[in-house]
Amino acid sequence: MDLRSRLRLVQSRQQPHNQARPSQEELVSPPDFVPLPSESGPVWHRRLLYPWGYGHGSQPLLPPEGTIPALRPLCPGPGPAVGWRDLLFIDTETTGLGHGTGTLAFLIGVARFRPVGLEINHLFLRAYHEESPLLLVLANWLRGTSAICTFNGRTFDLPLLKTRFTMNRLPFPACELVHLDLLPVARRFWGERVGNCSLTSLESAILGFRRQNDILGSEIPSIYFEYQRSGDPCHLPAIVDHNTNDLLSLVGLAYRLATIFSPTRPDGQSPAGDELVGLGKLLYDNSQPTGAIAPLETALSHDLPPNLRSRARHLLSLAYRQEGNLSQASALWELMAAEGSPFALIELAKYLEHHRRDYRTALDLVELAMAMARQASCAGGQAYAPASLEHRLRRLRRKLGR
Amino acid sequence: MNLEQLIEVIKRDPEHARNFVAWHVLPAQAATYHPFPPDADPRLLAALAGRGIHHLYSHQAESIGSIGRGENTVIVTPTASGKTLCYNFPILDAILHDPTTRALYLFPTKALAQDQVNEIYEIIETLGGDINSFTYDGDTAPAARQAIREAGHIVVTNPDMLHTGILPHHTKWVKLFENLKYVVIDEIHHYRGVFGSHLANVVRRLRRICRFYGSDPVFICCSATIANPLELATAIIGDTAVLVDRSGAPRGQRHIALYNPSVVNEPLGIRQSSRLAATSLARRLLANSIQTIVFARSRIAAEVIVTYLKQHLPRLAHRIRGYRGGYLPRQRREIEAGLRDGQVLGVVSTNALELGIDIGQLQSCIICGFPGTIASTWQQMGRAGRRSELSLAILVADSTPADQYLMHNPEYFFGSSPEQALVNPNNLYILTAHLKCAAFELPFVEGEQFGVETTTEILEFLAEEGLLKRAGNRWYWSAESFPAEEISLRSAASDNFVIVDTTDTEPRVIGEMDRFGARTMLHDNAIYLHESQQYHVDRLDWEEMKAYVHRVDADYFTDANLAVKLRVLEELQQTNLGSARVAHGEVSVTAMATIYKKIKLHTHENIGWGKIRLPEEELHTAAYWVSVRPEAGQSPEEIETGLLGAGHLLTHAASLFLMCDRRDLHSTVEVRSPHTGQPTLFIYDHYPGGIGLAEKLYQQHGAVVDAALRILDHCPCTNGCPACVGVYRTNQDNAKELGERWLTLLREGGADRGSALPPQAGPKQTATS
Repeated sequence: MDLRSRLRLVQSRQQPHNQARPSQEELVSPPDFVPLPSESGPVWHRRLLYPWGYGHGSQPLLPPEGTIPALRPLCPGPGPAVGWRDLLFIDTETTGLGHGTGTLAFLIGVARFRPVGLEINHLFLRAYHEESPLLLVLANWLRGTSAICTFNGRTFDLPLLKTRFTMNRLPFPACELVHLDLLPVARRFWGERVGNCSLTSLESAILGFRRQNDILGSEIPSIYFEYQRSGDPCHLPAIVDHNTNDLLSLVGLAYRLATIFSPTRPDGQSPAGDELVGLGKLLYDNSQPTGAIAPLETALSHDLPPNLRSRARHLLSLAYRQEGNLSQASALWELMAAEGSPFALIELAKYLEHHRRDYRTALDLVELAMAMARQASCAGGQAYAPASLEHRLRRLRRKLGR
Repeated sequence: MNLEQLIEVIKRDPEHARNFVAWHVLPAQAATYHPFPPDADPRLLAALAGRGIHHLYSHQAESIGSIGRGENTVIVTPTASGKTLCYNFPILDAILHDPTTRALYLFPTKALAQDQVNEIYEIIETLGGDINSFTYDGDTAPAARQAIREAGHIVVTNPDMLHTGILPHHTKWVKLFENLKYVVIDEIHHYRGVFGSHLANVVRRLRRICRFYGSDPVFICCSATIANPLELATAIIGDTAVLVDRSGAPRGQRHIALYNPSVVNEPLGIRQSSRLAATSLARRLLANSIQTIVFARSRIAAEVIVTYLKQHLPRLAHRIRGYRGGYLPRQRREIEAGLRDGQVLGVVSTNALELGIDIGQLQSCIICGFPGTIASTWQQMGRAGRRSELSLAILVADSTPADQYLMHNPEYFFGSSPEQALVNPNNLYILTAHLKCAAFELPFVEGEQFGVETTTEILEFLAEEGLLKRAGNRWYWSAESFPAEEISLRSAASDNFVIVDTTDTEPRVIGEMDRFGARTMLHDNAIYLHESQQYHVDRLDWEEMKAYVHRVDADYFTDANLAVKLRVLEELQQTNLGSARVAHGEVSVTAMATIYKKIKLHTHENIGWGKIRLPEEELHTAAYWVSVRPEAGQSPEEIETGLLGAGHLLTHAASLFLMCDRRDLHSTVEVRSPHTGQPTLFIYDHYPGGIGLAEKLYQQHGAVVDAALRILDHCPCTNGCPACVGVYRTNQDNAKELGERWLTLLREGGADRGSALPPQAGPKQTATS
């Protein structure tokens, strides 16, 4: 039996794959892509310009001068201040969702602001052996910037690109860049409203943008492999459009975020209640309780859903307390305690005990909190720090001479 | 009584004495010391001194020397001879000299890997330096993984994790691969057959990746005693190596005995249960406060023996423990510590305690049933025997043909090892699977070879299949799948059927069976026997690989007919021995279970039958076959019975020589074979493409037939039984005689039985009682 017949036997035990059709040596690139001059090989490139005023959903493209520094607290780690013109928006289309070394980024979309509008550049990997020159072009762009913005790039696009650079034995130039990953930020500000926080849900809920004839993300790898097998580029434009929309949504969401932070509000819109609560939480977490007070107070003047309202009150009371404004804080605790918040009961008891020396009311509140804790644990819920409650109870009784 | 006195008593004890078929005394051996290498790091020497180590044993010095010269090194020394220091010493020394140095340790199981790390930790802690050693396996917390990839000097893992978790993600391990100087493969004798053939290909992938990052590590392999450790290691690492196999470690005097329980039913050849015999021996030892380990072949057997011992020794019950997979890690650690400090006096374990886990050295060891290989038996026996004290190890036989063969041929056990560990890295099924993984990991450069000269042809084929794509002068992975996840290195296990007992309201898994056996033993309406209990098979779910059964008390058993059609595709080699003709080559086998018969117990009357409706199985594999002209006057039935009996015996005997599971080999017979024109016995490798068993059988034909004849000779039954010729034909009352006649014919066309025995007594053998 010859090797070929044996291999057929071996392969017949596997799931069938599409047989390769004879393809030309030179693959046809997708429409509008032209080779960039490059020393190390051809790089397929397309450039598009979206002028100011272009509408993507409800969010028009506007010159974004001056708003970006406010976004800096959203990017973890040290690094310089960032201007809009420095910011590169990056999104990749890949041959799989895994991170193994056999997964490629075959389409890399990069958006940036120019004086006349938003420029979108696409790099397309026509043939596998042309990856190295393509990465060199991307590396050049990355070297000219100080910050990037992605959607889930921290766990997906960047590690994958890093692998591609390593596979080509090239240094990866994006390690040091300030990185604004919009996925965790979106969860922080819009998680309550949008739920799963996929880019499609966000662009529809936040930007009012709905895609027409979009392809499914899961179909993308097989379209590219089919292109590699057959050489027919007919389905590639759909992928390029998909990536373009991803980038436009990324830019739109960044605008919307800037709106939350910026006092100037270039488009005249004002932040929504959930966005203000998110901002307050961010500032509070970043040890800026004073800054957190204004957005939270404004948020509470909105009509918030109940759980968002209690979160806002909770945060605001903590911010007041840190500021030493105990009367405002206790006013909030009274509101919250009336709605049965064990946290507020305890805080109020502490306040009454230590600042007002009203031991009797404090004792009543602690006893109430304990009763609630017992009910909660009977109902299978989490008991509220019973040990510290016991301790507090004993001390109050001692002070009251009981 | 101390052990010395007790040994004298047991040897004379009327209950036991006549059952000892061999009793060897291995003399005490003094240590052979060597000084530390003069250029070794003083911090390392101080750390070892702190652990009471002031010199090296000769085999340690020898290994350190060859590893230092950059030679791949294979170390074969007994349990508890300080084997791990052979590699830990040079590797820690190298890291101390150059902290960028990296090493990768591979162990066959997670438990062993964990144990190794603990041992290295202890040395590292006393070193005080900044050396990091981590296990990286399925249990490693995602948060810790990043640090391990960057900063682990010694990464301890298993082949499966290397295969799916590390190699396909090598770009995350740049520091490791750029600086990889050492790869340790411990317990390499475990990697035989399918598992070993896979590992050899994983190593091929590892080497490619090392070349990409510019490293070229030294491979260090450790093995238990087998016949061909160097051959196995070089096949797995794909390179030459030097062998270090003379131990310089001290040993106390060791008594090693083989115990064959007495026959309790002569006509049926049934012996006393090995569990009862092992329990009785262990009880004597424990009652005299001799710290003892009992090894059992299954989890259930281990539990049964613990229960017996606790009943017999109520005052010691709290100091007798079981140990097996399925216990919680904390519970295991507690038992291990109890064994080290003597709190636990007796432990009954499955082979979970056979390998490296540190339980100190015990005084005696009882093995209940041959563990399947002599290498494992010696490893288990190695659990008994402190450096300077007397120890005792007893192997208690079961009634299987392999156990009985050992009992009647002790020289096979005490002589130099006859066991050949086989791998076939070029099995096309395995090779192709790993070639895909390799292409995923790094594109193939034109002309690059992956173990075989035909690499380019295979790459071209995979490109036509649409899995690879050629671009420039390279082959690139061009498919969405993640090829490493499509193959398991231990694929045999995943092919098992699960047997579910639904008698009680709570269904319970009572056992497993391989795909081949399931056809004839778990088909609908079969009576399945498990732990002496009958079960009726209500439904066999072929797709889900589950058999649903309930307990019954039936007066019949079932016997399925398996129609096996074998076609010879290519004869690779053949030779004539008298009128017998021996050959091996490629075959295609189709097997289909057709009908089953209901056979009444005791009378063996046919009392009914039914159809079996299961899909046909097709297997393309390697086979060895023997054909011979029949003796005049034998009926076709007699020829078939003789050949079937011979086949049953030969597969059992072969499993002894080839270190494989008996179920890895299948036999089929043809009274008049279309290929040879004569009565022919085929034995084929039950893995697609074969893993080298058939070719080795061809080479060892004479020795294996001799071993089969000895099993038959020593079987105490009268007319043939499951332990010798099997249960294929119930209507032939001369099955045993026919089996012997045919084995003799197959040996060399009927010439007198030669004296080609397994290799005779080696240096281990000394005075006998």
